[in-house]
Amino acid sequence: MSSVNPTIHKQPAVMQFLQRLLKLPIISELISTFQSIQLAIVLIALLAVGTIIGVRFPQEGAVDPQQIEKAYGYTYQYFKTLGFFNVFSSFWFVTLQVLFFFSLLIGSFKWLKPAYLAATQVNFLPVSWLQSKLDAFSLSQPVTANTPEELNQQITQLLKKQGYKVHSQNNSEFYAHKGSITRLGPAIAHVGILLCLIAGFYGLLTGFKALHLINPKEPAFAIERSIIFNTNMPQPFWQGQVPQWKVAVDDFKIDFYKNKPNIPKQYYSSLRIVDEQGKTLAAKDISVNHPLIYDNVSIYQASYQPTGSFNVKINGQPELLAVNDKFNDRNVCVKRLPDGRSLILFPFFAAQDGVPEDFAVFFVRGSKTDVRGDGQMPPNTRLKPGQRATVEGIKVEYLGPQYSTGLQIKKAPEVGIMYFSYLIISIGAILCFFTQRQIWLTFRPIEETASQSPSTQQYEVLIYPKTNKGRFSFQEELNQLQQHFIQYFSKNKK
Amino acid sequence: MNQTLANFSPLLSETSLVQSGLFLLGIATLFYVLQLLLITKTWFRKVASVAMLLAAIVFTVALVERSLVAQYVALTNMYEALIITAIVFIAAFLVVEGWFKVTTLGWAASTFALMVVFFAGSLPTEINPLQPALQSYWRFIHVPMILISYSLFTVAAFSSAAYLIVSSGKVESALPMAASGQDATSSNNPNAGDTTSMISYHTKVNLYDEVSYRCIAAGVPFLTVGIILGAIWANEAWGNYWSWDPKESMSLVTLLVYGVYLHMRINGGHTKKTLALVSSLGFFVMFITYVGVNLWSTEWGMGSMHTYGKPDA
Repeated sequence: MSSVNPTIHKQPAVMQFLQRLLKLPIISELISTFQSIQLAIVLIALLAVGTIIGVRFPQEGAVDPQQIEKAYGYTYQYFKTLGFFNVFSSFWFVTLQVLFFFSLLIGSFKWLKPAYLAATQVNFLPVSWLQSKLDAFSLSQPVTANTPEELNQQITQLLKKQGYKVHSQNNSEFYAHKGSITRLGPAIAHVGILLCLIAGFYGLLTGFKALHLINPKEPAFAIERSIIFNTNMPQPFWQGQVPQWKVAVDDFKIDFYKNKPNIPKQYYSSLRIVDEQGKTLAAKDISVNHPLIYDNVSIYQASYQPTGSFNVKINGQPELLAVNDKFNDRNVCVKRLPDGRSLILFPFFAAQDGVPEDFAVFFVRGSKTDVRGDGQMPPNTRLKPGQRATVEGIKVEYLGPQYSTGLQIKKAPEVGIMYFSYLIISIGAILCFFTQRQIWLTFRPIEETASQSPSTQQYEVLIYPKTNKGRFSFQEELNQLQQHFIQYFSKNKK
Repeated sequence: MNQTLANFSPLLSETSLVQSGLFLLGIATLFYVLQLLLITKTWFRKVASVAMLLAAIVFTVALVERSLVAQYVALTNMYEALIITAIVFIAAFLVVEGWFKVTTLGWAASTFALMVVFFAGSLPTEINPLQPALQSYWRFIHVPMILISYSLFTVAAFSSAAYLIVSSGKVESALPMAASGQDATSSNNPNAGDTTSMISYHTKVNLYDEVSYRCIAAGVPFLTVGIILGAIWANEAWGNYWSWDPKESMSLVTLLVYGVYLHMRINGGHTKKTLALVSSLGFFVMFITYVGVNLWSTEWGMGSMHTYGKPDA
């Protein structure tokens, strides 16, 4: 005799626990609150207000906090306490985002099934109910058919011609609809937003971002906390890994527009990924919009900055001159020459000095005169990058300012999910635009005409239309449909 | 020397073309006003619509000429963006006018287009070389998407304003509230959502409401996709999808405001006047996003990575 194991049908303990949890009054109350569209509206509005505050107030990540303090004076502390200078990481804004997430999550679960039903369910309505509707109307003329089956076929054909999916029952009741898939739009968009938020959180847990300013030809650097490094997540929670390889910058160059020499056309860094032994694993010249991607880490050309040093050739010898003195309160580079004299490089930048292009002025001071001299600029030579000249007997070639390159290094393991979520949101948003049109239609024989001809019967056609938007164009379509009906059946009659 | 349209005729220079477009917009405005005053003369509206269309074509040719001179697609600064806005706005309006047979908004639309082009003309029109960040195909996808959405929101705002004017003084009942559970989205209940009678619905005032709703429903997908494409571009160019840059943040606010509108619409419980007010608020926020951030972000203490069109830039 076989015995039934009573534990086979028993739910797992976790499920039982979840079910009990969901039945708790406070939990069901919370779920009911988060299902509300009104709450969603309030949260969206609050997020909008919070974001406006973040735009209107300077944010510490983008502006120097000391500058902000100076600008806001005694009100600084109040606004700082409210988190207005760091809105997007502030407790209240993050709380709003979390609440929004739960509103979306619970709301989406609530609306998903009804939306699916609205898009797919075939929904007949009682004839008596249709007759009671104000919007229901009869065709202006009765239609004639030999049998109800024939009329059924003809109506189905006409509605299908208008692009409707047609369902009928009892030979005289119809439910026709088109564009029903649009009802899934909001639910799909919500799922996409949820996925986007989840992807963002996953990125916070496992990704990282580093911004590093480095001079070309410096030793290869490792991506570690010694450079500006941001995991966006406190270390104990962060689950990502820092790469073992290093990045070497072999060169950096800027192309300027010929007719606008102060505007960069593009800037490039020659990068190499090297292992601990210095072996090259990958190499690429990166530029803005064209990063190097290695080991799921992307290295972007983010910025550049003058280092304050200048490449020159003095009597054919390459030299890197650093700013080391002042002339008339301006930074200059002074190079002591073997004969005791000094070569002075006085740089001018288009971006800072209001001159049309970068150049440097070179002059020489005698061995017994300091840089300032009498404060007057002695006879000098002005050179643009790439130009050469002889200055007081010294052959000088000016190669240009040295720039450090700004690299953004990023690992975003969530990028695939994020892009997928973008696709889902886009599909949902596009679907939302279209309209669902529904027509309930029924016909019934007109009794007094039944005896006029034994082979044909006249019918009254009752139509109840409904749409979720676009009523004016739907009305036009209904008018056309009526015309088609009347023309079709009058033709049949003949 | 570049081959440009102006080589063929001085009339095809950018300046001449923009001036011709302005003239056509002036004609359109005049005829729209005449049509408004002499309602029976419907051909006035037709002339006005054709003048608007011609203006859009002429502005497009002007931008083609500018692109030939610049040797890149002229879609980089605020002057160019505003001219494109005028073109897209005219196109959006003419589609709406034809589709919904709106006969009373033309004068406002043509005046708005005139103002946009005049404002564009007040900005520096110098052709500058393309900045490295803008040297990307994403520019041709991201920017037009956003501008199409802004144009649709503008048409929606005009229609909402017309709704508010026409319905002023009238007491309205709120749209039916989506009750608990399935009502708002389920076809099980044909009473669900906004079920104003199809018969009583067909009045001019409801036409304005519907134009607004449809324009917003069309604009939101464009804005959503535009923002998403911008995020992908930013990720490819700067390594960041989202930096809470003022332009990004304000475009999110614009989307949120219109998101509120759509949720209010779906949920019911609000009058059409309230919805028209939210639509107008959306337009205001959109204006700040489009123009305000470029003009005022520095005064607000924040630079924006998107201020390529800043007048003093």
